[in-house]
Amino acid sequence: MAGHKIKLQSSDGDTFDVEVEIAKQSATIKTMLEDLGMDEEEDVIPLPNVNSAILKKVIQWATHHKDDPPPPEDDENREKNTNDISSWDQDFLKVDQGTLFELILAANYLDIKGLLDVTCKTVANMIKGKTPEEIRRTFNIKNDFTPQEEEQIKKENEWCEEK
Amino acid sequence: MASNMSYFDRLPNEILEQIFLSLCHLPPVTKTNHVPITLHSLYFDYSIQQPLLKQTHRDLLSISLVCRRFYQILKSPAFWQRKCLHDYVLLPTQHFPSSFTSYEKLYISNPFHPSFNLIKENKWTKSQNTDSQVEFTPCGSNRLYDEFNRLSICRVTSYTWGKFIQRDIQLLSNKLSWNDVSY
Repeated sequence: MAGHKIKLQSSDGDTFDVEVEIAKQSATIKTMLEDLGMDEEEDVIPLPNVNSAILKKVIQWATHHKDDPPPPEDDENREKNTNDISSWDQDFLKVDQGTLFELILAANYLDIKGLLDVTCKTVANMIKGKTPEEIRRTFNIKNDFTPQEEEQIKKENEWCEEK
Repeated sequence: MASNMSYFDRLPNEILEQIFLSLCHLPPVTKTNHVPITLHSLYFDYSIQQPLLKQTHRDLLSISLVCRRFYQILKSPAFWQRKCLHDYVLLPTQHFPSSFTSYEKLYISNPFHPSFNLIKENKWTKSQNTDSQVEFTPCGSNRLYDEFNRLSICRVTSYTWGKFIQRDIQLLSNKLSWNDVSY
């Protein structure tokens, strides 16, 4: 029912009062409420994989998107264009890399498709157009190829070079 | 987080895959560049989409050279099959036998695409004495529109018979060979 609230508890013990309809954008929480018969008024829903700072951001995102139509169930039917991130989401995701990746993990754990899509697209946009070395530098990734392996992969890819 | 770690290390492979799937260059959807199939499924004019598919493929090749983990994800035929569906290169109704694995090649050169046209507009040769011209807006016939809702041009001849020929039609490009598609 509109206006009813539940309590969500972060991994570091903080609790947040959230409207049920907003919280239900998380399929994980929706399942807990509907299938496990948790009492909305009394029970606190523990979220041991999400800390306070990230949970606060997730609630902020879900509150803004509470009136969005539900996303399609299957992966093939999700929105696809990496350029279609709304300006609100773009501003919302102007965060440091650590927070962005924490949001991806939280969206995955809480099963919030819309948030997972938009965070993945944001990372994809950070990768776009970069060389392998630039990607490594941007994300602090170690090059674990041997020079021979690198050479081998480049050879494998020769078929797709423009002729 | 330890200084020698990347935030990518914390992501499971399925999320990495989703990030790589969502990396795509697609044309903005306009009224005259795509055909809707269902509410969420469509195909683009292949000649418009193909350069962007090549650009996406180049980005993904760069990613495959970053580290072994990325390489392993991006070399999987299953990834490229999903990528073909995700980026409207294959329709959800198009299926290949399980032995088909060349989805990466198919991604940048797809002769099975609904709007792939073997006949190229600028490759016609006409026989001698064939008099013809192109009308961009047809004068002597009803207007015809293609599947993308664009006005089709007309090739009009004189009252005598004429012959138009295209030679060297490539069924498959050099990217996709008969070995890839014979099963």
